[in-house]
Amino acid sequence: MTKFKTHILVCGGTGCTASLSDKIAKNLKDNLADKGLENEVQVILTGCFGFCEKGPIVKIMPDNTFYTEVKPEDAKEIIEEHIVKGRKVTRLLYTDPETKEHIADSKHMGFYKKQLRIALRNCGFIDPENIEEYIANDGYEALAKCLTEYTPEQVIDIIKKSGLRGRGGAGFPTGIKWEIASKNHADQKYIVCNADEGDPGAFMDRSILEGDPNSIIEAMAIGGYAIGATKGLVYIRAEYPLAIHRLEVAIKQAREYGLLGKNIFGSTFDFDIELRYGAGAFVCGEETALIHSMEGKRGEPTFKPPFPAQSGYLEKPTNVNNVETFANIPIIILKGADWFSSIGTEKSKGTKVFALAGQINNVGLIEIPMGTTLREIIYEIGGGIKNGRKFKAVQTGGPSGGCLTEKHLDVAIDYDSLMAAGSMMGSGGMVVMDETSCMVSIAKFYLDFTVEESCGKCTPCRIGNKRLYEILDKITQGKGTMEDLDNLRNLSKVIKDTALCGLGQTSPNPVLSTIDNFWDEYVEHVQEHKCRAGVCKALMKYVIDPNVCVGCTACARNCPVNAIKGERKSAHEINQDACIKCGTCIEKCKFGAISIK
Amino acid sequence: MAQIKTLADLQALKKVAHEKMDTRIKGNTSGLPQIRIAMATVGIAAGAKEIFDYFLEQADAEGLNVVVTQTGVIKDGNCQPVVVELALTEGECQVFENVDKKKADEILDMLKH
Repeated sequence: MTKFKTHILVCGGTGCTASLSDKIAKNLKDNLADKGLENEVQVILTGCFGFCEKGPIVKIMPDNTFYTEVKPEDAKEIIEEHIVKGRKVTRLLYTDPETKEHIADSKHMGFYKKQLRIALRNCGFIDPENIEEYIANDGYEALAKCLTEYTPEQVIDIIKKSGLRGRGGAGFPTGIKWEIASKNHADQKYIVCNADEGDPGAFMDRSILEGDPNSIIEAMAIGGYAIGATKGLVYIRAEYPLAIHRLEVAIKQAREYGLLGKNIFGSTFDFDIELRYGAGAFVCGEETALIHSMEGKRGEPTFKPPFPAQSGYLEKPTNVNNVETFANIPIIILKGADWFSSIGTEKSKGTKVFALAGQINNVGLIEIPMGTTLREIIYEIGGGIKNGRKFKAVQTGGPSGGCLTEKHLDVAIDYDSLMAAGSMMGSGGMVVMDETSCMVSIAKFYLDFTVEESCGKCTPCRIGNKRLYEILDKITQGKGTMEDLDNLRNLSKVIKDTALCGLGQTSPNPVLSTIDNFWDEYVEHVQEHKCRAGVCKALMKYVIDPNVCVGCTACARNCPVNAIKGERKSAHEINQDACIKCGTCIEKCKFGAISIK
Repeated sequence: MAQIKTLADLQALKKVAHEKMDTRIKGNTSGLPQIRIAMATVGIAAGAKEIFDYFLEQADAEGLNVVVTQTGVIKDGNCQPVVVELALTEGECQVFENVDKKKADEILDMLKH
């Protein structure tokens, strides 16, 4: 058997693939073949490394050299320098933003130091399309253990004791959910993986499915055994073609090895998995809507009870868990409930994957123990705010969450502390904002999303959210009144209390949390017609300083709507009614005579 | 493809798969001792590649838990053939010059204790 001396790992996640990482892998292989090294060095396309900001990533093992922003044409140099001559390609190494030093070993990078990768344990390390690499890293041992050593009750007990809570957002204890499903008897039960990831900016579920699909298959089988379900269904959005492909490959390989099918591990347990595609509707992440969509019906939620555990898919007991929740299961079985519950905070155990996005230096996917503070995430892992600007807020929990501010930076993050701070865990989107973000506009952005994604079944969500959006729009136009602010609050409360499902019950959160934390900014918009972030165009005014203007006519000639008038060599003036606030005049003025007021 | 029907079947397959991934798994494990062989032009001309292979084979044969990897010039401006660096723990390393198979064995011996 040939043993490869060096392994070159190339990120094959969706982000890096979009930046031609498959071409990089091909070029690396071609160059290795040219040098006759194809039997000594192996090139593997893996899942996401998480450091998407600097992608595509190429990592050389065993020396852990971490190359960033690699282009297909860099392949030749990597092979000739690093592989043949043993010299690192310095220009492709990560540069520490503070010390400006090159860091070769990923273990020493600030982005990775504070992370603890449990759900993402195999992402960026194994070949997701090769089940043997999953098996090499303890894969399917947890399933074997469950089927040969534990009763279903014991499995549920381990999960209950571990303290694992649903990673889809609400944080319901997974063990209890399984227990309820296990106690409802029926001729057929179903276990469903919710891969309908819909929060703007969230991509943790996609990355797990792309990087370690077998962990989900194994966990679903374990869950199936625990609750007595022989059929698993993955509800995945069709916009995730790569995740679907890798899942299909993994299911095929698992069947070939007999890890899915009849009498798994020689037991009496049969289990198989099928995929169901979603069309990308946000509401279908809600479990009753998801089940209806799988049945071929309209993706609308229904009132609970009955809970899916009583009557779900095809009116049979159904248990729905999120992708990241499943990813934690096998390792909990292997390492034990005590190990898992030793990580995290009192009421939130384990780790959480977050998708860091927005005005932050290190955009990417991170996994941290519960209880890590926002400050550690933003400044240590995230590398701080882009362009040295000032931190303003961080939005967590997507359209159901809220904005946290500077005063929350030292809050230890878990389900309960986020809830207490007026936001929520959600699926783990984390959008960082700096002083150039207008909080009214942010609230409006999320409401725009909710209005678009509301299924329309219940009135509070269908009409209430639309009205919220209209009021916010009015405020950003400078036409809001103080009464509107009261109405925002009242209407938000009514929607939260009366909406049918989780979508409507949480959709006013972005409004409420921005009103609570940025009241002054709302009042400024209403009373002073001012947007301090300079985002609301209707509230901005471009003004020419007559003392500085030399009358060169550059602004007037370039104004697309002819809003600037003035004689040559005398001060110009902007007609505010005609101005569309495009900013062209500021760009063209060489004398700095134009400013925004 | 052989079906996996018992835990033993799984473990047998795991062993084979684990060996194939050995290089990667060791690289990912913190705190393992490292043998770094200088593989710049001078080193390669002096036979560093053969020594590199020898280290790998021997470490494998003896089942030593060590990361064998290559690096650039270890001693600046050296024209010494085959320089090897041994790091038993991170940050602490010894440098060996003129390493041949005999010296390589001595270095590997140091790892056994």
